[in-house]
Amino acid sequence: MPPPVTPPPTIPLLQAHSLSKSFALGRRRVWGEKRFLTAVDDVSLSLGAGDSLALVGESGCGKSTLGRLLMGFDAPDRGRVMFEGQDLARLRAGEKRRLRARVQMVFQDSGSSFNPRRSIGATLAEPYRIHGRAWSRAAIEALLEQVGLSASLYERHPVALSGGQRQRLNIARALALSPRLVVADEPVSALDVSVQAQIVNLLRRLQSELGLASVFISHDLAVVRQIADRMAVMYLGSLVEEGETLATLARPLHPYTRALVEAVPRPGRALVAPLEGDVPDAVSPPGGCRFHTRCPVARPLCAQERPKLETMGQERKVACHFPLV
Amino acid sequence: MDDALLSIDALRLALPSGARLLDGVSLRLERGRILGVVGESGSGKSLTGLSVLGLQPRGRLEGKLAFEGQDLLGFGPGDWRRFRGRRAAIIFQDPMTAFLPVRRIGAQIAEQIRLHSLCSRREAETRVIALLSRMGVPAPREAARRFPHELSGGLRQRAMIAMALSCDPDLVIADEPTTALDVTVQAQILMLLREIGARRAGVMLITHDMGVVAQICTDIAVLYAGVVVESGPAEAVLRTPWHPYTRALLRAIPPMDGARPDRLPTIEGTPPAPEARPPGCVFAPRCPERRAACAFRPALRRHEDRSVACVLYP
Repeated sequence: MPPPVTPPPTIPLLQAHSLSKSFALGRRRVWGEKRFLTAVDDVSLSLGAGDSLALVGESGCGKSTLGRLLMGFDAPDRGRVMFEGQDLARLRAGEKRRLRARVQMVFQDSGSSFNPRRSIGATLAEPYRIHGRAWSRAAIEALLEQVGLSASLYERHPVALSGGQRQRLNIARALALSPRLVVADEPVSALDVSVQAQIVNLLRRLQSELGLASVFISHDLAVVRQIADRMAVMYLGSLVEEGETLATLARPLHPYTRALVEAVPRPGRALVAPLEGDVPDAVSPPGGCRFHTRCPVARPLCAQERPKLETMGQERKVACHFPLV
Repeated sequence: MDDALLSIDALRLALPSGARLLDGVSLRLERGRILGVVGESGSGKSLTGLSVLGLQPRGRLEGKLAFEGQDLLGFGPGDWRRFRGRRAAIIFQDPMTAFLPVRRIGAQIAEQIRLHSLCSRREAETRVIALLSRMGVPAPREAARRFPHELSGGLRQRAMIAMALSCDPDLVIADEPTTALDVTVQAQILMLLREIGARRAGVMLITHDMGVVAQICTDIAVLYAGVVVESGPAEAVLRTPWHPYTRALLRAIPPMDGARPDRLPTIEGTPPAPEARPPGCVFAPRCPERRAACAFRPALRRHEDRSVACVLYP
């Protein structure tokens, strides 16, 4: 096994440069115009070793597509993803395989991500087999215990596990090859509150114990607050705000972020008048600032000119002509 | 004589296999109140709602289930037909599966209106449009002509609520009505539910989200493993939960304000399966306050306006 290459400290672990991705939808009529849905629109991000970043937004905002681009599952139409200074799109097959070991993914639905006929031990041995690495029963039992599962489950099958235990197994499989980055798409949203708390604690412990960098895709701001040091808010494919999690949630700069934060129901706070309407159709998004049609503080400029993501204050960025201060 | 709109006492539902899905559900709902029925998956909260409409799976249903003093357990098919829709209606989590996909939204709501009241097709149509517009559906006339898949999730849920309210029911049961929705849309639907509650109907809101309960419910009933372990005015129960389960559940929610804890307090273990429920207190195996007396099932005891089933509160 080659020793892991440690990049010089100046290069971030993961960098995304103006990523865009759209999907062809087909035509409305036979001779009609071909329609495209822009899922991710000019998004740039950077993540250092051991950092944790949450991608936040409502359904259809492009957060899962962005996660897939960062993983290299899909190729961006424009822009590039650099992992440890290497462009994902330019990797040869062998290099790409080595990269797979260093970047892993945890999905939301732990029920459908296992082969039901394969024992838990064999499930966890699979990553080692695929990557041609040596493994032992002891190593797999240690892995089970690292995620809080009993080593005695080795011979059992995934059906014997509860939802929370299955999510632990999912995480164990992602950790098998000691990755440097884990992308988790809604890892706890299918779980009950008491089980959710256990998995959130596990993910945080692993971040600090293993120095693991992580990207969490989530719509639950309370979970994001507990789990990620930085957060990026997406609306219709674009980043509208990015910054340190606690500061962003306590004092959002973008009106959309504020609306999201205020819409979280919590004790001791009155229900605030919510945003009007639904998220517009991503096939024909509004011009200017994409949020202006629902924005409570929009002015004429917002309908004409699209704001850029600009740095404001300490380590915070916002794409708004009239940020909240 | 009980004058509550809905009164359920020691309701039990056992399947032929012997699994006890409901094992002692007691709750009361008055007109004009919103009762939050909370619990984790498998706690029996949805089944409780379905039982009120006689829609529970086939099995042995025992206990007391009364609507304005009328015994629902003795209902025949005709009684249920007159009861459902007109006296009590239900809103499901996923309106996509609750609507027929091949009929227009407006026609489906109109059908329900004409089934329960004598009115012409045209009158029904007018009422549908008025209802949709009251639910905050923009361009209600056009929306009524759409098929379910043509509406967004939020609009579909509004149409579903419009259908539930079409016959002015006295009781509305909402089963996780906002779980499938985004937070900004969820807030819109919660506002709507609160208005229904304010109009003399009773609302039973089944949810797993304590934040939702805190914001719109007047009362709360906490279910665990088929048993109501605690109930009372929502504000009091959420401020000072009595039952160890309620306490643990509230602590496990990540906070939105204040310092970020290093670890969230958790409840060890998992809820018991319906066929393997302990004979004593259902929460005892996971309870940090467990003692010898917990080997016997504690009754839900009243203490002024609150009730709790725990040996700590004799």
